[in-house]
Amino acid sequence: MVRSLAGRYIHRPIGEEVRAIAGSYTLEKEIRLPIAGREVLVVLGHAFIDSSCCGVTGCRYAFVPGYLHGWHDRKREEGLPVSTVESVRGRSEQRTIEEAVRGRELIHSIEFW
Amino acid sequence: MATGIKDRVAVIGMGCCRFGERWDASAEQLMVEAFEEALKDAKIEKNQIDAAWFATCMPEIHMGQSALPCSITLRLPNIPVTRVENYCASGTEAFRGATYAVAAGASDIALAIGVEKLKDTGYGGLPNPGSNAGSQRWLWSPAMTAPGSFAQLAPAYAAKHGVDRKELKLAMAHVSAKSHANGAKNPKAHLRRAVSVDTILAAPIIAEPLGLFDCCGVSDGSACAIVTSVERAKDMGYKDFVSVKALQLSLSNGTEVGHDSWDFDHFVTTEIAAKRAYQEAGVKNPRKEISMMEVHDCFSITELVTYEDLQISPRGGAIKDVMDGFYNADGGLPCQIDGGLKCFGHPIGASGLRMLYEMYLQLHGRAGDRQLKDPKLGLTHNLGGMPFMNVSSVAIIGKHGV
Amino acid sequence: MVGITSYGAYIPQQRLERIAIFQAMGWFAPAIIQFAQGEKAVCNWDEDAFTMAVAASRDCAAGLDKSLIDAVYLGSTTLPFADRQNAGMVVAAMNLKPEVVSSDYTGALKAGTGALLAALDAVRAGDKRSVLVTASDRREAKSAYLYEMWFGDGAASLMIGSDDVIAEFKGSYSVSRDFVDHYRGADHRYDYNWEERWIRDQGYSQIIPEVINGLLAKTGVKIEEISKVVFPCLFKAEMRNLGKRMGCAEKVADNLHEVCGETGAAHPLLMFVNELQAAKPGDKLILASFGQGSDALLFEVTEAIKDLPPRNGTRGALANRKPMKNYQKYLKFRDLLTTEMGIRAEAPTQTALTVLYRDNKMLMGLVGGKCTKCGTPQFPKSPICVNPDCNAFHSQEDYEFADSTGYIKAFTGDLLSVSVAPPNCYGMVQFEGGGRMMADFTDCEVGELSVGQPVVMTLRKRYEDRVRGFHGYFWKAIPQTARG
Repeated sequence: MVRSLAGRYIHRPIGEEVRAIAGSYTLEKEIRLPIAGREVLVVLGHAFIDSSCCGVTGCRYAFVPGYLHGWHDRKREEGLPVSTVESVRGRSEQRTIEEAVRGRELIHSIEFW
Repeated sequence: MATGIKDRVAVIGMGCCRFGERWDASAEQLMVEAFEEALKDAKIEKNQIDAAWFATCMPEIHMGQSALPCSITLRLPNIPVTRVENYCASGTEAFRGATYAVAAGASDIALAIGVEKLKDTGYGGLPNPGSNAGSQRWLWSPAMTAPGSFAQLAPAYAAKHGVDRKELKLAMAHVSAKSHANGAKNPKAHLRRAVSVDTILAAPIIAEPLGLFDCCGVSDGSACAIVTSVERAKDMGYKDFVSVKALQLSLSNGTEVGHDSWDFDHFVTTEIAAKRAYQEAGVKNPRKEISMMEVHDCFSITELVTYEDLQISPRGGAIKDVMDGFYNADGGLPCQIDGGLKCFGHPIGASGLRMLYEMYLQLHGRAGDRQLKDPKLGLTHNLGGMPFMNVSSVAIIGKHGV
Repeated sequence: MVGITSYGAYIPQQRLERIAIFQAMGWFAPAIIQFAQGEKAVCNWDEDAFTMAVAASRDCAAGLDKSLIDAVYLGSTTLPFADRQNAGMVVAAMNLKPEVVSSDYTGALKAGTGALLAALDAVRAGDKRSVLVTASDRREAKSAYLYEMWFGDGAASLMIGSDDVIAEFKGSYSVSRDFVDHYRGADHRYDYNWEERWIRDQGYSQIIPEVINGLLAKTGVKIEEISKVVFPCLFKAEMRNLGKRMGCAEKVADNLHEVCGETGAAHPLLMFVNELQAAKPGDKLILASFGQGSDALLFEVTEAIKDLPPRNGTRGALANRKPMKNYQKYLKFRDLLTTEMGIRAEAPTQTALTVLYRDNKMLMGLVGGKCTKCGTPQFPKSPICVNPDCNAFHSQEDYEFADSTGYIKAFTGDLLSVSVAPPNCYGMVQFEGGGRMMADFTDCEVGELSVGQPVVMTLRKRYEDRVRGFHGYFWKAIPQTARG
């Protein structure tokens, strides 16, 4: 069974703490950001890493599943809504989106899927 | 010409305490927990042990130096006890001392025990050595953490094999997800919960590109093994016992970090140790002949490249095997069947022995919900150090006479 | 002919917008708005007066034969060591021959020109062939007042010699006046400043014309013949007035407030290099300092300036800029903010001085080895060659890596390692021509990094042992971006 990122985002629950052995994260909110006539899905979360091998840290972070093609338009998986997305590939597009996100949210890092 | 110790050493008992944030227990108490189980398993008295090897990497934050804390805690009968340390491969190093002693006939019944108590420091994580890292090293070596030093494998591997970051992140997430699925079935693991690939991908980056679920954590724990020679085991009446098929170690010599020949994409030492181990064990086709493995999954990228270094996946082929589920519990070669470092955490001195413990349980059909069907050979890979300078050990055990 | 044979400069990349200071602290100190124009250059957390001095010195020596340098004079009021030859550390960092004179010039903001005069005297006396003069300061000021607004960090160098002179020394005039516009006691961290109006009226206004007129009289040159007059002054308006009074209003050199800030002992030289970079043969330039008196020097640019190999100088350093808006980051870098670093940061920091001496070339100079049997460059130099096909014993010669270019072989941005500016970037550097090492990266962000990206090496502060008062240095890699 191969799970692929291609083309879809399973909306992870908001406000639920997810624990790993080294720490935990909680997703805070999803933003549908209008950029150059399209909508970009941005997910924000915060993390506290208190049991890793090499120290304690934490951050507020963002990840971008991609341009939104269809909001909650697919069959539910793991009991969660699923949207159709397209990865943001170009470096300059990524920079534009990063600037827009940083302009409105305090984040330490942003990752493009 | 040395031929190794294949089928010369029998593992007659093993023990492993519950790993985790053991606020309730000191290093001494963790050791006794593992030791008691091993003695019961071996059905011997403590005073029958005539030599011991004791693995611990950071005694300055728990028991202190020398092998005395081991001898005193376990009330061993004034026998030779040696403390060994080889970074995170210390557990296997203790096993090596014990097995060679009985193979050489220098000892009758030997104990290998490892422990680490990391939670008495007052903070999360391993101690920052500062100038204690080495008087010269302190003056110039970058202050790397373990996640940071292993994370560097990822962009280098990606560049070497023309893989993009997303593809590699997805494969790494699969590596972790399968370990968590296995660990959920292990009552001795620290973290016992299955986690989906998407949950792993939604986690924050700790050391680019490793995310929260790509990294193991700190834990307290102890594990041990009792060994004797195969002849002695037969004399003592053990039937159907596990024996050591191979035990090999390879250390870096500075080539990776100083010579232009290495591309930061694999472990030079693991490849060598594995070749030697397969030769010692008489394994010609490891992908087919090895039934199960425990590798040093401190970080998912380490596990991924290790599949290739162990010559199970071809060079550049690990991602395909991962995505095909080859290393899953129901795959061709289950890996991290007990949950691995991802679920146990990494009490340094204990980890190598904990890996052997799972292989041992599986061979005896005692692995409960995790039991694999009819495993023949179990391989452990225990690595200490960093990709560019490390100690790599490969051990193979199986039923004697099989 | 004796004079300047080369120049160099270094200004830290980060440029703190002064308006950000006002936004953070204007509620407390509304007056600072008056000087909140432009940006000030501020050291990264791993830079100080010594590391900047090394960078400026290397810029000055670029493309030249450094074996000809007979002396290194370093002028600064903010050197990391009160007693350990800082100029000697520059000698080690540049891997100069040990048979040189190294001297620190300290104690006043005219320490740079003091060093310059000593260098000129030594070369004119025929005793020295080539003297490297560097001035550097990392300015300390308390938060939320005018001095913080005025100050910047930087370093500048001039090579003094008698071969291929690009600006001939024509004469100097100095006054020593115990005019204490400000002072800093030996055991204090910050300057103590007197009233600005008095400094302007009794200080700059009197002393600058005194030395410049004195210089003109002594050398028999008229002000009309001068192309540029360089002197540091905190008050731009006063500079215009002084210019008018001296009859050279349009020739007064810009004090670089909006793009850099006043860099202390370095500033007269930094401003001077800025002008020298735009000067033409025949131009006469005056360089004057200010700090309990003044030294004024006259130079005339020669044709040889066209043949000087390219270097950054002040202009190149100014162009390499990264805007910074985060005032709190500056406060943390300057230790003006008490932050919790956690128990894990309580690591021992002792320096084994025996090791530092035995491995001095390696640590301070990034000198490795090259095997004479197989030709493999390697870092560090070792008793047994690292090439697995060679492994020769005792076969290596010294091999310099500091000026080698390299590229990133592997990298990461680590959120966990104890850092003043997380994530901590580091990786493996592969050198062109052979050799590699694990290195900290600096002046970069993790999002900018990729395998194959070029890097250059720079000497930076590695650690500060606050318990014992020691500063440790080693080399880091600067990944080259479009900006750098």
